[in-house]
Amino acid sequence: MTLILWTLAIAVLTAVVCSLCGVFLVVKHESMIAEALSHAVLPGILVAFLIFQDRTSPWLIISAGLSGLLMVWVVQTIRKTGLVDGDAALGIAFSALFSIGIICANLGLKNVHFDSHCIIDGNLATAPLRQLTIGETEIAPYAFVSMATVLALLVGFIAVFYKELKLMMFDSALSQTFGFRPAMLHLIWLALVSITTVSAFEIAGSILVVALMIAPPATAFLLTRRLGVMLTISSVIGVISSVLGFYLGLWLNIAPTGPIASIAGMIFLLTVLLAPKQGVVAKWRRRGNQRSYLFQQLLLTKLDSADKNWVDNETLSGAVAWTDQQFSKALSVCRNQNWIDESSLGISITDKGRDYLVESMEAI
Amino acid sequence: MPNPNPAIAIRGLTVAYDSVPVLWNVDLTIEQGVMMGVVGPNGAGKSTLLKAVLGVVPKLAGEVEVLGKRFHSDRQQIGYVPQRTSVDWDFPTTVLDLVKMGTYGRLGWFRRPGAKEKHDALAALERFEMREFADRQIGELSGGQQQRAFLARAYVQEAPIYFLDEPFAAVDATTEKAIIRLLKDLRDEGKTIVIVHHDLTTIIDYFDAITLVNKKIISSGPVSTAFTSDLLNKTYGGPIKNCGIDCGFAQPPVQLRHSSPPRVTTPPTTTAPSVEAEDA
Repeated sequence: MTLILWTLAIAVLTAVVCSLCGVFLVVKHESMIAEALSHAVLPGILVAFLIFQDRTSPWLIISAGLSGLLMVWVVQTIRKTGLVDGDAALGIAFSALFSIGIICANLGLKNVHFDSHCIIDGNLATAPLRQLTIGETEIAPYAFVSMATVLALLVGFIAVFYKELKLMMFDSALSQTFGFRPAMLHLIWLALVSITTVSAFEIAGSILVVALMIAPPATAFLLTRRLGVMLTISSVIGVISSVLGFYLGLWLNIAPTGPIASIAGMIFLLTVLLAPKQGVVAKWRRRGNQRSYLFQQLLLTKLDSADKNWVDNETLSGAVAWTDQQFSKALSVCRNQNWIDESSLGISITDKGRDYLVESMEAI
Repeated sequence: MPNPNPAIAIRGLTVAYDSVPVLWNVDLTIEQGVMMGVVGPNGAGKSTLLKAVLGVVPKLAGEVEVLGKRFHSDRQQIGYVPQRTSVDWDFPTTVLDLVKMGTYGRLGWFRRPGAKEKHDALAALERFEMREFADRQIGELSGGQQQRAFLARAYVQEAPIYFLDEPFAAVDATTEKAIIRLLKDLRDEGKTIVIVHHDLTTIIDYFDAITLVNKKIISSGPVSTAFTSDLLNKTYGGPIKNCGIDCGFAQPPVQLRHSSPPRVTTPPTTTAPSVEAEDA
């Protein structure tokens, strides 16, 4: 495989891993955990690096996972005091851990190449260069292997514990009465999120990790109200964003992480506007329809109360507090439906209009 | 052979949030096949009582027996309908999915609900007149439908005991009556039903038994003996108006709903502090 294809494969894997993981964060209203974890894992990475002096050591990931869990513990402890609310506790905990990481980096790693640029942007472009070799043969890029492992772990965990995870997230009281150990499961789940975050973090950088963990699930949430379907849609959006973003990056000749995040954001924005039920446009249209419906009914009611008499245009428009445009639109709909008669004397309601009015009033 | 033990037996139950006791040394027995109201002021520990029995809040002391058994796994015998505000109605799940959750307990770890569970869930929805809403997302239901969906879940759980935490908080009077009818049917089939309830005027209509609680158990037993004005005053810390019984005013200030010959009422002569019961 060529270098470009390997890079693309790594990008797609990272996107799928993040979008799957993020679904559970979004439905549990824990989106900010992604942001917090992506920062809180830093001291873990650095401490493991200082001990093992090896950037490829799996201990980096384990230690990062532990530092993620440490953050979760700190957050829960702060929340328990009742002095600070949930979001603030998260903010305090992750920024504290991140700053410890920064201090470590500045003190211990002065002479080591540990690029702060890579913390933000990731190193997707150079990720395939580091090959995992067994003996003399190169198997696959290290990043590919690590992301594939995380994906397998994640999909396996979700597949095996789907029912238990769902119940824990939706109704932890019932989960507890059924003996599914929700607190324990939540902790294991968060450890998995930490591992995902830290593996993706190295490739995609902190911003893209957060973007990929939140934007595709949030988009999927607008399109479905079923957890299983949401997982599928979210992964598909992850794949689309990473492929489109990757080629956009190639075309613009820039690092692909930015374009991938932008595409994911754009898909979200388009969905917010155009989603069939939840979308802004659909809601506007629905509201508009209901409103114009209301205008027609009101117009007919006014005409009906005038009995069989002709009502002139001005009296009618004076009786309702609408703009000229609203008035003429309601009039034209009624005209097209043959609900009204018009003559030089003014307007009157037809029998058809009266029937419609009676019918629609019953519906109210 | 029917289980001769009480549905719930609580001895010396104490629960504290941090250092604040919410329930203090509670002894309570709930017999099988009754419909019991749990009543008390806000913060009296009514919900905590249910949750402590379910084992979802840690207890500081005491023991709980469910149908004579003390093991945690026996908590599955209780179908729990949580307070409406504590449910995440946006969660991506349909009514059918929600009801299927009731089967998770007997499925145990790893096993997924299959055709039988789906069949059971649909039958439960049928029983609670919710069959047509099976594919709705739970947030798209009215307050009464939400309660029915959760009742169907408890039913699928095959629980002999039902706990409901303020089920009538967001439903209109007609719906409330309809749900009470469903619950009374369940009771007549031998289920034990425990309801945290706020509306004092409906207690005599709805319940066989009542527990008045304010951190401690003030009284518990049949409505006729455990729901008296003195005990209510003790629970709420002052005379209660409009509760269906004579509640401690020299003359009752309101027309009594449940006494057959209406008594002539005159305004109270003393200005006792009055605590209004919360109407649902």
